Amino acid sequence: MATPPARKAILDLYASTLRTAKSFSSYNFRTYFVRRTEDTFRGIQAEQDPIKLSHAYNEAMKELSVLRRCAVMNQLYGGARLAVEEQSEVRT
Amino acid sequence: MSFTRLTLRSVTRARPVLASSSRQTWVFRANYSAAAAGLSKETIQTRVLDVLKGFEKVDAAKLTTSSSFTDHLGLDSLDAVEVVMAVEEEFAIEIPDAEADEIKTVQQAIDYIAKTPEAQ
Repeated sequence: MATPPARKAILDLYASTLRTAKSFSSYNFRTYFVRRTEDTFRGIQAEQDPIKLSHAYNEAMKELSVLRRCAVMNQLYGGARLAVEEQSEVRT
Repeated sequence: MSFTRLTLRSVTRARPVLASSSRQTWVFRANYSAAAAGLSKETIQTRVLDVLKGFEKVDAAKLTTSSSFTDHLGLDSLDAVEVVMAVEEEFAIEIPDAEADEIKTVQQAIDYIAKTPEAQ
């Protein structure tokens, strides 16, 4: 019987996932992953069943490690800024 | 003859380069000290409030420095995480998770920025 993840653990995971999503350098990937992260965690928030909840939590945990690797790759090969982005601001 | 002219030229050319580089370091230092002095309370306050006004869920009429994210502004815990992250982005800093959890009101966010010298 899996114990459901603590509220604080979920919030911390949300913070790290969102931070990783925002670190993508291409606009399209960045906005997509930010939106996707928000959707995923809204889903987790609405989840009542503790078993499904811990499943979703573990899944989100796995996705974070994948996302981190993708973000690093994207920072290396992100490409130029799109016309819709602010041009002067330097992303770090 | 040509050798002396060459050396003369190199000497005269070297001087302005030196002068400009020393001026540049002075400017950098000036910038650095200005940043180290920190932002004024009013600047921090208006910028934090502006960040919060950018959130759709936040009712601008209820927004004061003493409002709590969850109690007064109608945000849930996930929104609170987003607010803290937006504040991080605005001031170009990174708040560690343990300290980010402590930020629950607008005033606490302002105080955190005020005591963070890296904020800009």
